[in-house]
Amino acid sequence: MIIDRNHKNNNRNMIIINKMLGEVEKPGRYTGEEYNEIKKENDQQLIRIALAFPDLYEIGMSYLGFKILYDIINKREDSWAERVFSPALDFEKSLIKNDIPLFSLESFRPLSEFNIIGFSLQYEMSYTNILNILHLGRIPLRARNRDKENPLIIAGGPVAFNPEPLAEFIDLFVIGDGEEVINEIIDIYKDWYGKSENSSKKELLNNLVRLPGIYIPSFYQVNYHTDGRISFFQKNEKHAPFKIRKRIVKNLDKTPFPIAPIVPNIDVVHNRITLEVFRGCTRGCRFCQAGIIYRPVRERSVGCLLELAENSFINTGYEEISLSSLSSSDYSQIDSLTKKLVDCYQNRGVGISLPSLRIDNFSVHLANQTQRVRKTGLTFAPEVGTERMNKIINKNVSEEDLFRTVQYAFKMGWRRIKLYFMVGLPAETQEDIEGIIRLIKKVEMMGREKVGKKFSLNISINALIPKPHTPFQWVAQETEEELNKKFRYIIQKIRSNSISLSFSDTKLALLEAVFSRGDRRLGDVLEEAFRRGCKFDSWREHFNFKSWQESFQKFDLDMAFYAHRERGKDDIMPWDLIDCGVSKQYLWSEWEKAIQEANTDDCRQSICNSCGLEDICQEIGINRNNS
Amino acid sequence: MSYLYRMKYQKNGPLRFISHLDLNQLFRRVLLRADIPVELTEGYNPRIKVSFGPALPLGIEGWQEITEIVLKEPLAEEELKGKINKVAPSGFKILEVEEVSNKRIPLSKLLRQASYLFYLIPVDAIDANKMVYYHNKIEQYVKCLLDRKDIKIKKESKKGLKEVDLRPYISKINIFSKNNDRIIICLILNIEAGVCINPNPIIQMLADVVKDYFLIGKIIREKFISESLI
Repeated sequence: MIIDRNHKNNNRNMIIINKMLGEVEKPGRYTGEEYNEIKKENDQQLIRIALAFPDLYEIGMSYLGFKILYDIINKREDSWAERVFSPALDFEKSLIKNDIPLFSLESFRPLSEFNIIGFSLQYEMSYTNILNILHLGRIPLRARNRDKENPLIIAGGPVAFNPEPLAEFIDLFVIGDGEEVINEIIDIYKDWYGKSENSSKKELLNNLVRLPGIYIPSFYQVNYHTDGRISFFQKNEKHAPFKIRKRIVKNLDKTPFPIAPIVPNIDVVHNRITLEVFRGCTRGCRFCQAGIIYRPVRERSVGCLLELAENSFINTGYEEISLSSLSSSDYSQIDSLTKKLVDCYQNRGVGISLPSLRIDNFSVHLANQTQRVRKTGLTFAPEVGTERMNKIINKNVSEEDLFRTVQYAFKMGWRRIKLYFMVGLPAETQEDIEGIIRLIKKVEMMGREKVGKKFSLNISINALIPKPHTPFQWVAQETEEELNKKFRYIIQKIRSNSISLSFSDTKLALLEAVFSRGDRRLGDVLEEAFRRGCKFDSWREHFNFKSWQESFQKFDLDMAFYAHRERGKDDIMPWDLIDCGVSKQYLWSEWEKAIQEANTDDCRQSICNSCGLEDICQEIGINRNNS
Repeated sequence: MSYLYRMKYQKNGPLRFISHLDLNQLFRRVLLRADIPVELTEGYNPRIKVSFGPALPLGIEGWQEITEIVLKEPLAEEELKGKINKVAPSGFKILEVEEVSNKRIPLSKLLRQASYLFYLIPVDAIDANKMVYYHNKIEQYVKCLLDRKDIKIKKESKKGLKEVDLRPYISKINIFSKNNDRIIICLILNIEAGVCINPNPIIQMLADVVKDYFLIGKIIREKFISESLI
């Protein structure tokens, strides 16, 4: 029933796959055939594209970018986008045992038979899963070992803003918004494919590199100082640009949005309509990469959003519509949008949710509108516990804001609060740790007083991971030892039945810090760790730090060099070829302001900060200088 | 006024691999997409009023499963069926709809037996004589099995291993062979006090008789046998 759809497999193979599915956990991950899945005739002329997500089905099916690309590609008559996810370990074992290559969900086609495989890069700790997908798909891992007979391996997403650790494995990176460039890539590929008999992979790459926003790592050579820092980049190809400017879609109302996304048959992490209200954020929190790389802010209009919501509902039957963005309460029309959505859907069994809320009464008011009856938890991210640290990270939320907001939330009937904090920030002192403890205790006191026994407080404390393209990109990450000391101290000070505390795994945080600011020499380490069995590293139960340590030793590379080294102003960063729009000079000035404990205002409420995107803002019609 | 509809549906293809809970969620979304005037439950979190017959274990196809929904306004049976099937995913199909507002017997009381079919498929092609031989072997085993006073197996439950006697649940086992290419076995299980046991342990016992020569192909829950039919 399953395998014989496109591939003429014999009875026996069919039984094997069905037997495999019958023996693994959650077989619904691997069957495809969900509502709104796209199937096409198996035409020789079709450009076959596999969209690959290097994590489980339940995770991958929750990402909006993945759905956007699936929709755009499948609207083309000349192409067919299918999906592939990391198989869970039991299914992987079964694939190997039964000698079956990893296949796509739509047509059960082995990965090696696709024209293009596009990886979604959402977090660094999925890198080993990328190698595993290639391996299980029987595709050579290294870009240089693949020729035109192999699929073209491309990748994009937020983590592509430092593509270097994957430089050895990926043929081509897409930097920035993918909605337009994906079509341009397919057009060029198709043109080349038509005459590929007489043409090489290199020629294809040479055609593609002319597109703005495309980074082809094999076209550059990286040279190093003896101390391991980068000395200079060298181009190997004439047309390769020295700066790869990220792609920006200018008008979201006119940008395609998937109104008929696939409705998974099994439960996934975010099983709901995701309505992207706006893209970008200019609050300027100095640790936040998303706040830089998705600039400038581009909103969808209320009219457009209502239409998208209605169409998405009709096409999916989802009982929840989630307003997604980096900070939903910052949408200029948020009050009117939420009111309209609630009015339209509350009697139809459909709820509205606002996942990322600012810390103020207005946000609680919004949440109250969407959850008039049932109050699930409210989540806020104060991040720090002192005024001084607030200025360093430029979060601009005062203690009073938090207390007032929480107070109001209790008054409106909430009993469960979740708070996010960060430690290991630059210039952090004992006082800042005490500040976090004080804040938690105060909120707890308020909760006990206002709510009583049913009050619960969830605290999540994470280590800072300095990210590329942020003002903290020059900062040394704190060592595991220091971080653990701080975590232990907080645990000691906070003992309460109504509070549950969780901390990030410091070893995982270390590795993430290494890869987020890593260079292409890490490719060897990555492959070695993969060969030693590392995968699903972000899943605590699979994470094997020892194998990682051994892999670093083998190539004589030092995690501390990447994680714990403070960079100098003039250091060449591995991601310096990538131009995210915000200038390095601006980021440095923000870093200097951080040390001086000085705030930078949000340009939506104040004047333009000249972050480097002025020309784009002008082109889109955002004019901040007059306000 | 509310209107109760009992429906027979198919759960096969990819959907045989989804759990009862996932099917429940999936069906709710189908009803929302189909714009059916469903009645919502009262309370904090209004939900569609749907109830299902006994859960189908993962991997088994259902040919005539049963579900009931409550509507706020009446809808012609054929119209309801058409509207749902139009927006149902592959593997889910409504076969029959019956308005049963006047005969509200809970499904747990109505259904008395469940009938299962499964295939045993030879690993390598075999001739007619061999087929008869294996057929008889299974038949003998079934005879012995049904002669037993009890068939106790260990079952994993939340409270650790639990012993269950399968014997009272087994009503009939019939064996057919078809064109040398498979053995078909029909298994009728009793539903006792609303409990419809998982047929897999019994199927496994039968398959083990011809272990190295046959693989279990499809497993199907063919139909339910209800009170009035016995």
